[in-house]
Amino acid sequence: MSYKNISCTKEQNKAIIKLNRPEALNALNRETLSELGSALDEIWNAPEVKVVVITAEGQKAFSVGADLKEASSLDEAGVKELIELGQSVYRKIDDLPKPVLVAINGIALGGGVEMSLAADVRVASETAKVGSPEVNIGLIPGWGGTQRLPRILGKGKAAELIFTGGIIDAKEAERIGMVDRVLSPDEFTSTVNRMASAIAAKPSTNRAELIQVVKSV
Amino acid sequence: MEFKTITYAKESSFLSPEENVAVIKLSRPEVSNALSKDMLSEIDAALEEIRRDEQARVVVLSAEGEKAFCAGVDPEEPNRQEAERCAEQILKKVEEFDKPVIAAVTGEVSGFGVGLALACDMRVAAENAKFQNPAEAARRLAKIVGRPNVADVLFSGRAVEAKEAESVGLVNKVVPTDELLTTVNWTAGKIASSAPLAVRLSKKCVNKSFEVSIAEGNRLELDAILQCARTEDLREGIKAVFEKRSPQFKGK
Repeated sequence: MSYKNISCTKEQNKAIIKLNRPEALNALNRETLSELGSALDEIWNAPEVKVVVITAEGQKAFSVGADLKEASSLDEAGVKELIELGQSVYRKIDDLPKPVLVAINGIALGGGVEMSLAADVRVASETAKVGSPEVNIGLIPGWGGTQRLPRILGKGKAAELIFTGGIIDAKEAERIGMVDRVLSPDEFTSTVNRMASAIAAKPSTNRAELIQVVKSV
Repeated sequence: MEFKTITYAKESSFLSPEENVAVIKLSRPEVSNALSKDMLSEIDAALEEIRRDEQARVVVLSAEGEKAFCAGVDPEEPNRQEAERCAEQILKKVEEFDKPVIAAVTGEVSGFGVGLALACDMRVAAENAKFQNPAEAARRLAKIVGRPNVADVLFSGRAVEAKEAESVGLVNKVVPTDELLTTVNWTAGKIASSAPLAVRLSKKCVNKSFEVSIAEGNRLELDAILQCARTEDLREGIKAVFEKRSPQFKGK
């Protein structure tokens, strides 16, 4: 299938989804989220696919989160629909019976981070920054961030990140357990590829096993 | 209000001249800030005052002196059971308080003192902090360090020093003792400059996260987002993003 805001390619037993709205720093509008949902369905039903990678092109942005231009034009019913759409697509990432690796190539904020939290394993480029700045615009993380961050980081660290709206660099994200490994930007794409191949060779959705694999590649 | 066993003051932060950081300080250093019934009711009264005070956006819980944060329930209390019951009520109140609470931990922390630190939303500790003999802390600890097995091992009777507390996630951060209050003030200032309703609702959602499924948690988030969507603060926040400036939230 072909998409407008993302690309989804299959190489042997790997599926690679790339967010592809670089002009909007991969902000997540309704169309992008729907396409992501369709790509996940497609992968769900493709028995040859043993691992999924979600990433984006370049070093600048993974995703800056919800598309504020679009979101601020919505009425209450529209907001509800948008929130439920993002939540259901991210639950699909969670529920997909195949390992999902999110490779954070650049800045990941708000909904971009929340997408990564639904995956089984997260790696980030040294130049990446991550954060949940929603409270700084008057919102809360609404696509699962308030639920998955405490589960992943523990309550104290999740509270700090969410209540301060802080943005941290990749090293700090690794220290607090938000990403499982930090990669050099020069070798980012090649290492992520090797990680995906290693996971596909021994597919599992056991987080401890997956972390072992991404650390050993 | 006048307090005898604690001090209560509002402070400004690095980020704003407004006195929006409420600081409660346990002030019985001569008994390692042990929790007497009087002290517990004064903490309760201070929290009620903060709840009503719209200017106060975040609470810092700290202690007088560097030797001890809190040694738990005062052993001099004649009715220990009654005192422990009061202490547990205060812990619960802190945990569910509608403004975030940051613990600034120095020195010895033991028994209900550990529980009190863990009931706060986050903890910054001085290098000399040392956690021991937790009473009712196990349940809270498991949520904070994330791994129940670690919680068991951690409190098998030995003391946990600051560095270890940091590496397992029991405290958010360890800093040199003389930097503790400035570090906490910075974090408090960041929270105080965020949209108050959004902070309050996100605390509610985070608190529920260990009790509900993701799908149920998502419904709580949706409900919170719809409340935020009706605020002036959200409109101001989005406007500020497009105008590339800091937002001015009014709590409306």
